[in-house]
Amino acid sequence: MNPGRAGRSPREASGAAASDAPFLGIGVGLRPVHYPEIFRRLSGPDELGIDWFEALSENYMVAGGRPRRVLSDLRAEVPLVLHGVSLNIGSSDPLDLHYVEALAELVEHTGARWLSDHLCWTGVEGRNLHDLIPLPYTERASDHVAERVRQVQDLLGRRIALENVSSYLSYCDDEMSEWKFLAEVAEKADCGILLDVNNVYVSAHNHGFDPREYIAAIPGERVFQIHLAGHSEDPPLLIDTHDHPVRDEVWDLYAWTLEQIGPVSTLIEWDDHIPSFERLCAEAARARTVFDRALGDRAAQSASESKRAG
Amino acid sequence: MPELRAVQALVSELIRATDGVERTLARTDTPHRCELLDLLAATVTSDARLGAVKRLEVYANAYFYRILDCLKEDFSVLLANVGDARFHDLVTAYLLVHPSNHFSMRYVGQRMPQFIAAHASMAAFRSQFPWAADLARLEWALLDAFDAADVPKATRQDFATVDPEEFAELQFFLDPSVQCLELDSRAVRRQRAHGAVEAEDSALESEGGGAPREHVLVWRRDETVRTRPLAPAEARALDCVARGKTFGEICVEVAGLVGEEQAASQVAGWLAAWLEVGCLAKQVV
Repeated sequence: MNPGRAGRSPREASGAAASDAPFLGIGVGLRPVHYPEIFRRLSGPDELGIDWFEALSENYMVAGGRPRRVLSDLRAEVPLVLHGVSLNIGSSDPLDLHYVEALAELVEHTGARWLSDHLCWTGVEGRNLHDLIPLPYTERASDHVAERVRQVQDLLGRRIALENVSSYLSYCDDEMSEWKFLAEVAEKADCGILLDVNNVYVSAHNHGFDPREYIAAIPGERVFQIHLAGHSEDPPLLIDTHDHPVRDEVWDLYAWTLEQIGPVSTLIEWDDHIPSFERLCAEAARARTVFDRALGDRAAQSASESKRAG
Repeated sequence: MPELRAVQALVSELIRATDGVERTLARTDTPHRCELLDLLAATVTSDARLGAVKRLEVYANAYFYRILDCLKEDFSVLLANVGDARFHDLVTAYLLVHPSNHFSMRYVGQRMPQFIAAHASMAAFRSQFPWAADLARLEWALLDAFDAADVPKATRQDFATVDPEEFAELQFFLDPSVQCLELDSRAVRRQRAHGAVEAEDSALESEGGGAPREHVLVWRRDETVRTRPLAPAEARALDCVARGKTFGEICVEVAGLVGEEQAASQVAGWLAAWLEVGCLAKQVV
């Protein structure tokens, strides 16, 4: 526990997260390869093994078929959250209103508890890069993004959460740190934050900053959710590949994060070399153990909150 | 530093250079290369560990290989038939002409069949693999069927109360997943060899003595995409349904293929079969 913040639990204060993102426990990213095992567990005596799922919004923005049916079936059984990669909130292109409409429809379809995307841009001049490119960390960029977030929130009628990305480049004219930029955008837009602890770790390595300084500056009351994932080494960089178990250093940073901001719904992402659902549940179980150890009594209290929310 | 739009345009241009930032810059003519390098130096930070070009290269590689992996899944039979190296070159050429302009990677390969069939840069590829465009069409049709809209299916009961006198004026509606394709039979054979198309030899010699063509029905039932060969008369009848023709009009159109006396019973038989497997919808969609 950081002595300077001992006993403080900003996440439990009356902020954006408290009202918009109830504590759901430990979840995993929903991936089609696991559908058979998930429905086997849901229809039989075995425990599901996780508390909630996060679905990748774009994968379900289709007219029909199995993707849509899976979400309608799951929403009756387990809390769902939506996570997008193509809101393109930082682009200088006009906001894609068709995308926002499709997102609103998907929120309705899934009963998503909340939704998130990334603090980045993903395309410009009508071209989509299908990647999360960092923004210049300037006042003008933060105004630009915050204005667009407010527009999206008005259209959706709810707050969204923005996730910090892993990055491999920075811009010459950055005027502030990434963490100040994230906090500033969240404040100006009155939105939530999806704090990806692995991304903080990866970017800290790639740009040479202290990940704890980053996390200590994040307004805990705005954190809807935490992401954990594995990364790869491609010297001199770390790459956010989501193809490994969570690294020990990231587990340590996760525990430290929880000590700073209190109980937050946590999700394991695994997108490449995807293991069995059982192995994914084991990773979620490890998150639960770290969570319980880091938070002690507050973990038990949040578990009862999670039951109410589920 | 340039305005946000200029920064994003520069980064996007370099990331989309499908054979890498460094090689693209080396290939660019000198005045433009100098301009790009100056702009890059004023935009993206270089440090002792890594320069701006190498840092951008991470994104350029991710861009190309992420889309390549997606297209390998979408066109897996084409990939298996042309091989990794040619498929890699195909995707490189495709992305230069058709960079992704949709928010979802689901649609990045949408123009691949047409690109193979008609783009000037594909002439050599076409002469080596004359069936490739149709194979891509078939694979894309399977994807479209997979996530087509769900609508209520028509059933026998829907037609049980129709007065036989009114049957001639009756219209039918296809399920949104239904597609009827006329393809180079060598493409269909290759798909069949992958087990995705039911085996049945219905290949026909096309008029004019070109490569044999055949019709394939693609649709989705119980969340599984299905295919089966179609005889030309049945394909014609299905096309009539798609064009909103009535039972009577369909009979007239296929009479030349199945004989006037057989037309009504033949069309009724096809309709019954389509109903049975979920190809007909209750209403216009």
